[in-house]
Amino acid sequence: MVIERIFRARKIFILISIAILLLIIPFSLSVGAYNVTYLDVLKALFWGNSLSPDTTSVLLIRLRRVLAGILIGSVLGASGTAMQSVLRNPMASPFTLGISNAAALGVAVALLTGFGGSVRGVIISYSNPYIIPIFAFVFALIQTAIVLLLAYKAGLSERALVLAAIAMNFFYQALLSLIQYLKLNELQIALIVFWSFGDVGRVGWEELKILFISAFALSIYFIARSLDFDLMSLGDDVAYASGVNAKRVRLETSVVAALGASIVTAFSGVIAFLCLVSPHIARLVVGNSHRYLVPQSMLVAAILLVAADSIGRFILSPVTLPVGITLSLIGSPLLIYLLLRR
Amino acid sequence: MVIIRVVDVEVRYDSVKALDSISFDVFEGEIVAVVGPNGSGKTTLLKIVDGILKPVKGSVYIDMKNVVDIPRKQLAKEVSLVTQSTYVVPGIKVIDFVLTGRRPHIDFMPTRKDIEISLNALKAVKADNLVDRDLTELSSGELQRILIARALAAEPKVLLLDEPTSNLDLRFQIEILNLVKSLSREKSLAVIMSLHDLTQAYRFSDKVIVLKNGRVYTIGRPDEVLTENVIEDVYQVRVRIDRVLKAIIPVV
Ligand SMILES: Nc1ncnc2c1ncn2[C@@H]1O[C@H](COP(=O)(O)OP(=O)(O)OP(=O)(O)O)[C@@H](O)[C@H]1O
Ligand SMILES: [Mg+2]
Repeated sequence: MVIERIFRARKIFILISIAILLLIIPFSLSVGAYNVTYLDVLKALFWGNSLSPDTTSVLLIRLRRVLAGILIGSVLGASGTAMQSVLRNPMASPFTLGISNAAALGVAVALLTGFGGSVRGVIISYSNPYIIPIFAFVFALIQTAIVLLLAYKAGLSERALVLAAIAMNFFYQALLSLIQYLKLNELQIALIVFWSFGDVGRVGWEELKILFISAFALSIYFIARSLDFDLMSLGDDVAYASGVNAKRVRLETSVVAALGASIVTAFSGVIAFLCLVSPHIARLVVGNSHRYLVPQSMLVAAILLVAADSIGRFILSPVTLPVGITLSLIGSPLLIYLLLRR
Repeated sequence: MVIIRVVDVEVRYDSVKALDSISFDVFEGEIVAVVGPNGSGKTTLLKIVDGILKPVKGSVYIDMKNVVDIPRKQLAKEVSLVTQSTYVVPGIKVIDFVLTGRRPHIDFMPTRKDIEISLNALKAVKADNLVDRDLTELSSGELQRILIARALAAEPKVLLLDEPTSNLDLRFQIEILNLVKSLSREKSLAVIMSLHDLTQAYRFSDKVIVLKNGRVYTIGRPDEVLTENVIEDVYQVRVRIDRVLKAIIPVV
């Protein structure tokens, strides 16, 4: 039957994406300044072949990056899809809420107040490795709360949300520039700039646990909401007529997506582009039905992030490029290609 | 059996009074046409019955229960509204779209049964050959049938149609109205539809509600209600009525 064919095709695409992701993992483990072959990695993974302690420790570090890439990709892919649906806007993402500038401001404030670490000459000494992520996270949350409150006052339409976010975003940008201009030295500014390049290498094992829990909870929530996302794209009235409170779904989704993106940003900097490009690629493959689109976007985002991180490790080897840069370099041509195809 | 009872309803949009002292009953399996000039309150009337708008005065009862007391999701199972316009997003297939109509019955994920019911709804409107088409690729006639299928997927007792025949060519107009008629007869579905074409109201309804400036001007069987005088009064247009052909022809 035709219907079964449609659904089966979508499931097959999802399975293929899982396979691609699984194939990319050993590849990603094998590339980098320190040479390990794909085959050695496979042998170590499947047959437990022992490797030299050096190789093992390099592989562990790379494994951490890969896992971080998969989890961050899942969070950003799912959040991007959800935000595009509830804001009825193909350019939307949790970062539309202005999270990235707010988080950067948080980092600046952490440095300014001396909580983030003190500077003597050209040396920054960190007081605690968690201070900067916590400041970034808290500022992102404050921004989300303000935007949602403003949008709530204005009736929670998709337009209200976007306008409130844009206004606040410019405000934060101005504050950030002001602090940088008046109060911070070159080294601190460089640190903020460096922080803002998204990089999965900063994620440690402890952070991975937090990321795992967030990615798990967030994806369950978004998949459970998938039929509502289908309805949201038909308009608030239609959704309401079918028993779905569109404003509530919009509010809840923004909160969940913003939480996810804030956690990711606090740990790894700004990787906003992924939210934008992954849902579009996933949509080409499985269409706009969110039961399939949400998991497929998560997979596409994970694949892109792990692949971009691997490429960033060898393209200018021995320099490792932050994945945010590599991703935008790969992603923007992809997005333009998708645009021109229509 | 009375399935919809509207009692002395008044509706306001801020300061504008859109409906005033509206009362009528609709029976199971009955087709009611709502006619009246632009802005006379037809769409508002349908939204009131669907509980999307709340009256400032009076009440609407579905199955003897006051609409304001029925939880939204429960009401969505009993009443389906096909609106005048819908966002049509690219990338949504007909089957996905019709499945969204099952939302009031679905708690987590659609099951095989939900998919089957959606498919049957498509068959009922003779559009099951369109399942895998993109919504944006459909003609207006096809789209109108899909919209009705989506409404039917909720398995409602009441179907509300806002101008189901506008934008359609002559053949599709007749096709949609025949479809509505047979659905109503087979499933003893109560139907309220707004229409601009008085001839269609005459031919396809059991009862006509004539609205003028938000009030019921008159209500009753088509042949009783649709008279030269009523129409001239409501529309300021002189017409001739052919009782044999059941046609209402403007005299210009
Ligand atoms: N959202 C709204 N806000 C304010 N006034 C409204 C709103 N919707 C409708 N109205 C007003 O209520 C009255 C009834 O409108 P309604 O849409 O019910 O008319 P209608 O009979 O469906 O018209 P049409 O034939 O053009 O579809 C009109 O005077 C209209 O201007
Ligand atoms: Mg109308």
